[in-house]
Amino acid sequence: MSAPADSCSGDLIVLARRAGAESPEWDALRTHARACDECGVTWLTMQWFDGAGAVRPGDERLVGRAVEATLAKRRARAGSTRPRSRRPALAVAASLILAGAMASAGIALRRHWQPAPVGGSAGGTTSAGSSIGHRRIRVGPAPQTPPATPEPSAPARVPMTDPEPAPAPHLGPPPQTARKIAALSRDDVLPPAAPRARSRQADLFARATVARRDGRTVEAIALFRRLESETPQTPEAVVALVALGQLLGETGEVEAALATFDSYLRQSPTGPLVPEALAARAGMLARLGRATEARACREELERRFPGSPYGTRPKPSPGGNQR
Amino acid sequence: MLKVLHLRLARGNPPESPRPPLKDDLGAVLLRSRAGEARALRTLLTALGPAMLQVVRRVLGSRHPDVEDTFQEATLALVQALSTFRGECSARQFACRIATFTAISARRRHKVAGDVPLDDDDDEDRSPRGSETVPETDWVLAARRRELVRHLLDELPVPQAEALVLHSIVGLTVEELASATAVPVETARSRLRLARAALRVRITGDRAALELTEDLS
Repeated sequence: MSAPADSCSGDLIVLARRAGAESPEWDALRTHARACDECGVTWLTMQWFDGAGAVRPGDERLVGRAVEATLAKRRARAGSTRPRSRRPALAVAASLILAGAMASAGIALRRHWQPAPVGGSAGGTTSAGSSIGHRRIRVGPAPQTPPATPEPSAPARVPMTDPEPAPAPHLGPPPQTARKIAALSRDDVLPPAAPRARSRQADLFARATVARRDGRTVEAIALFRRLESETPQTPEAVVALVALGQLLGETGEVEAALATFDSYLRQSPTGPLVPEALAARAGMLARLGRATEARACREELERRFPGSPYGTRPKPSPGGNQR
Repeated sequence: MLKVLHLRLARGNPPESPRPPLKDDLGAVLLRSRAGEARALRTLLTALGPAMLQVVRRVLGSRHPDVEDTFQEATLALVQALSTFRGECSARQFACRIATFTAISARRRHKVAGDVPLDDDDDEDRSPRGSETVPETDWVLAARRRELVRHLLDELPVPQAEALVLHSIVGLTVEELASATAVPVETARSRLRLARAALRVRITGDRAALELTEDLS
């Protein structure tokens, strides 16, 4: 098993576990993990979670349920995003017309067909509502037996009213209606709100980070510089100094990179990227031939961040190989 | 994003792809799933489900009552995110990242609501129960240590918590972590360093935890 390029980033243990290292190598790894803080924490965490959450009998059913539910939700969403058809509206219109026709028919036929007794029955007749359209027309004789569960005292259902009774006099629309109005004014009535704009610095930072990730170094540098000039002193601009310095160092602009790291350390003396900035600054100083300053910078890094992976302390690696 | 891509294509420059697409055994299925093929999507979810379930259990705790709901939420999130998958990491790593994020969010949600006990001794995970090679005390200690990490996950910034889980629990290398989370390698390394530093501080600052981690010394 070969050590990765940056063997103290914790990858060593990850790779060893993946490769199924032999026992002597594991012993060497254990030794290394005790000497290296970074690997030590990774080693412990991995050990603690070994075997946790393992596959159990019955998991295939659980996975199957989740898959089916997900597919069903996906189908439902796909269905709801289809363009609306006019058929439902036509159906509603047709049913209204039909209801009106039936109501008229009810008036006309009431003389001939016995209306159901008020109070209803299991055979299902009526509501004592005010709208004749809601009165069911019964065909055939009324049931002779009284209903098992009479409901004469049930309040008449009046259509088109709010089902929630207002407990107290209330000015303005009832709460439910108010919610509907609020929802309407939010989604339908008012013009669509403009998408929340990211701040200028966040936008520049994100674009620069993507460019850096994709290896478009020149573009990333340009964007980071714009960030520095357009929105100086913002958190994004301060953090970006480290990334900018690293990119400048990669492109050979060592002095500019050094100035950038100095700027970060000045603006954020206790920031989260101070170890990175100190390590990179030491590297830039060494490249410029300023060995004494580079050494002093490394010593500062060692002193302030003794467990840092950027320290100069030699770290043992498995099998006694030093990287 | 699409606009940028169209602009590049119009100029005749191919999109820059310094990270070549990985060879992935589920790559073909994933592409068909993205194209909307329901059968392929079912195959993909069935293949990735166990790994995602394991991540959810590890982050929430095996006996957490919301494991199944969170797992389902994660599979749905995976389906919704398929269109954003750029092929810079494997489908499994992508799925594990989504499961990690969903589970961390679920933990935080329940912690805020205070309606679900988060502590969990994971006793169902003692697979070789009563095994002679693994003493009972070690299982108990391991469960308590896991809770230590889980409590830390609730407090760390989400990107750091995510980095800690994906690297130290799921087992991604730093480079894979960077690919899966779509950030530069240096950023992934910094997040990991900060998370591990926080874990060290938590361990050394907590006497009980320090006793639990005697193997550090």
